[in-house]
Amino acid sequence: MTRLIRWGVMLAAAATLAACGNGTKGGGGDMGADMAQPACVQNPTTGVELLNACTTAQSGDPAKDAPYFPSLAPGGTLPPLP
Amino acid sequence: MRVGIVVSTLLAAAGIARAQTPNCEDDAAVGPNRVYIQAADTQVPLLKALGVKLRAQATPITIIYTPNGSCSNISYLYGNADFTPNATGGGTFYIPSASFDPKTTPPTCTPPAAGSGKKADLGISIVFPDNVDCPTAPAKPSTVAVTPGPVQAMVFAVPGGVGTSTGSTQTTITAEEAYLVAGLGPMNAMVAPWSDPQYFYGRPASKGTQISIGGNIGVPASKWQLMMDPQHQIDQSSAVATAIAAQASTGNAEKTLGILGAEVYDPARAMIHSLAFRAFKQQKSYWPDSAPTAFDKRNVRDGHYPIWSFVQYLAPQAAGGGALNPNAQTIIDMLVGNTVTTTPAFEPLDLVISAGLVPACAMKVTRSAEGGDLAPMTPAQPCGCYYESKVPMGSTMCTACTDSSTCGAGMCRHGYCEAK
Repeated sequence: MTRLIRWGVMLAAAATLAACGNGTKGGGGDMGADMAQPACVQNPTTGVELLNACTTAQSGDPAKDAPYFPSLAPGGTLPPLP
Repeated sequence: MRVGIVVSTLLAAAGIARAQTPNCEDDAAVGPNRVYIQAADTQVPLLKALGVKLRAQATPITIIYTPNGSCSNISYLYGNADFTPNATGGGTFYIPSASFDPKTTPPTCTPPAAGSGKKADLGISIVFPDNVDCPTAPAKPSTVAVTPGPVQAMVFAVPGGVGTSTGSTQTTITAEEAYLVAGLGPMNAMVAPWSDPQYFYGRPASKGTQISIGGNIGVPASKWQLMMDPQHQIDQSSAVATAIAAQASTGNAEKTLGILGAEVYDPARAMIHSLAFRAFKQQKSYWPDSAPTAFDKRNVRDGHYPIWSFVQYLAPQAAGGGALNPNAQTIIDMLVGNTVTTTPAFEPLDLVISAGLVPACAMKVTRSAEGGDLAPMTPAQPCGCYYESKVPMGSTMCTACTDSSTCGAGMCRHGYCEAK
């Protein structure tokens, strides 16, 4: 049941955030400055821009959106492999 | 006395089993126009579906395959080895007839012995066939051609069916979390809840699924910290799905994590569910599909989900070009969308789509290395509209057409107006 609820919440969130509005490349969407949502990219051309392009697709657990990182990767800096 | 009877019975049964396994070269028992394939095991569902269609043709083709790891297949083809069955994967299978049910396991046959000079006609890899991804593979000889085909996505998967309340409650994994769990091992990663190596299921280092996922999380396949046994470095993808699913009601579902090709995952969604993935430098996490319940691979196609690779077809070449075995070339042409000399009575694209793969003509991004940066791409003959219409629960906003006269500046392809 927990996962059902979580997926339901994420679906609702995705619908709310759909398409990130009409922002320009690298710019924010139309979410309003006070919502502090990460920018999505219109007209992506690079690999990173494609990953962060505006989309209506459902996204995963918002608790794991950037800037979340696990404890052994502070700021995204990873320890070397053994 | 009783032991003697049991032994005799077992020996008799073994003898019967042996007698029932035909020689792969037997036209009557196995089939004509045989194509021997060293197959990536994730591609088996597609080979079975295609094999049935090929047996129904006026001039039938018989697919004979053994499922193995991509790097093993590359080594066999590049090293000009004789056809090599993978006993761990069940041996050598053949598609027996046009009425064979591709959802079932095909019968096996006994291929010519090693040393006979019988080579594979085709090898299939799901990673770029180079010595970066397969360090022990020989260099590519000029006599083998490599043809990139459809795209295969890979997923992290956990127990419990999609949309059910059983199994794991996890929905998302980040690249950093995956790096730590796979690269340091569950015990050292400090990534809850995946902290127990007993419930972390991967593959041997030669397997494309692990190589491809590794390329996206910065952990080479050989560096994955998996328990050193066949129950955790699992030879066949289907067995990984089974192992994950088996933990749904054991009390260990939350700790369980495994990896799969999407075309193995998709039919198993009633038992397991995939995790959304957030790549390095990505803001949000996504599933391969536009939603966990969809099958549209939209995020693979447009670059939001980067864990994918091209299926690559390796074939020894004839002196004049084309595969040495013309029937192998026919199979390649069908699977990559090339024109086939004799138009088949079926749409090969449908088989590719049904298998959970994305035809290259439906992709909007590309890449040139395993886990490498994505770049925008427009296919020469796009089929995105058709793809969207054919996936399970699919629909498309594209205009249906019978010819290009109604497509403006676009082209009518597969019944829909495409941009070009």
